Amino acid sequence: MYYIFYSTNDVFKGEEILNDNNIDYKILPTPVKDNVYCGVCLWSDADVDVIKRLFDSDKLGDASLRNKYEILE
Amino acid sequence: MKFNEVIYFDNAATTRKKPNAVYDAFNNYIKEIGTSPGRGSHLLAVEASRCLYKSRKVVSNYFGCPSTNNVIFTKNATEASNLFLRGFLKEGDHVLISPMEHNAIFRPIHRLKEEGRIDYDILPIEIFKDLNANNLDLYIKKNTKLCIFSLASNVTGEILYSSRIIEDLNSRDVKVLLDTAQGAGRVSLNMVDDNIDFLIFTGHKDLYGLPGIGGLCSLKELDIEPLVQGGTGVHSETFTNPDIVPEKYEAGTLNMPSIWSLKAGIEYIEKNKKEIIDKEKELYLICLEELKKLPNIILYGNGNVDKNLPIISFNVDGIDCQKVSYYLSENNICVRSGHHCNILAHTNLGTKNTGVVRISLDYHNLFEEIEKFINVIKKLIKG
Repeated sequence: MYYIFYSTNDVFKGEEILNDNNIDYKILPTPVKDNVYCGVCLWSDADVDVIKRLFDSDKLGDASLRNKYEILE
Repeated sequence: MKFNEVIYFDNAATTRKKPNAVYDAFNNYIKEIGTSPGRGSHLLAVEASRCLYKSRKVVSNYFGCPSTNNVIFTKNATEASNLFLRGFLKEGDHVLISPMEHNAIFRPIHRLKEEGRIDYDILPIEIFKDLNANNLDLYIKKNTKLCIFSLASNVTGEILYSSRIIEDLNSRDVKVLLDTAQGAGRVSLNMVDDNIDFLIFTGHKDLYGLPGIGGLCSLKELDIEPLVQGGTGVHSETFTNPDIVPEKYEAGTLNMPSIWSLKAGIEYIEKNKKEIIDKEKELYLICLEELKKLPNIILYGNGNVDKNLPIISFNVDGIDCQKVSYYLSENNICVRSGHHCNILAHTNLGTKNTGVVRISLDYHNLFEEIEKFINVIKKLIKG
């Protein structure tokens, strides 16, 4: 799944979350067909619900990523 | 005289000596990465963006800001001030400012008044020294939207900040903008705990960063008009800056080597804060006490080491402050004389017509440098 963020800052916030939770991921160019891209996005084949729960958490020590990304297959 | 032998007592303008970690960070960034964040998806662009996020996180944590998205990088505190004031204030708003505000605050505010957009009043200094809530009510109007004050004065070093004044302003529904250009590296702040709505900072003073980096932090996600339109690296298809924070406010190439160096400076301070403050207090007290022993020295400020940055402003009675500064410079001692970009503070101190000589000390200064400085001043007084 591609996790596509509006803000580049949030891509790296997302990366930090995945790292902290030992989830494999890649940083890839965002598929250009989508218009919510910021150049790079996260890609991971880990459980989408787990990643969503982590991104949407209010306990990040930073603002939540809720509503700040889209998921693309 | 070699420049590295000069005694530098103008750290309130720019700290000259930085921790080695700062030089290393700058060097490593420009040699190893050398690219800009948010510009492309190749591995060096990604690494630059990662460095930007890490830097933003260090700044955010240092100021107790609730989110990295609420940290906006600018080229200095002045740009942060202009970005915020031009975007936040609306027609008919009233603003309160302290009588010690630097021109980085005062000029943008006064310009907005000249444009007929806002009005402002200058609070008496007593409000910041011995806060009386009833006094504050005398100055707050129905349309008072914002109160701006410095963490500490760049002229006297007096710390104006107290959580109590912020509480009182919050309880009257007046937002607070804190200018931390002086003191950000010495006074511990937490935007969330202390309800500091907005805060501006600069990197090159006591945060030990390099020139060319500053910023604006906000308690809530910022929603104002950006100061600059241009390339943001995100949503390139839109005809104006996209409504995405923090990129919306950071159009144009960021000064990433300075941002990365600022991160190193802040991390150094976090590790060594007590040691830094203890030494600076000692330097300050020794210098102050030695100056007090001399004839014809007029000192300004409260002289209270616990409520002061290591800044001392003085005049030598009967000698123009510029002449004192020049004499010191001829003796390889750098100080700053004049008005220090702060006409409000000098009006408040009664030194508008004379200016003052300012010495601003730093952790890297040596006790023997104070001794040499005092001896040169003694020589000057003797004539």
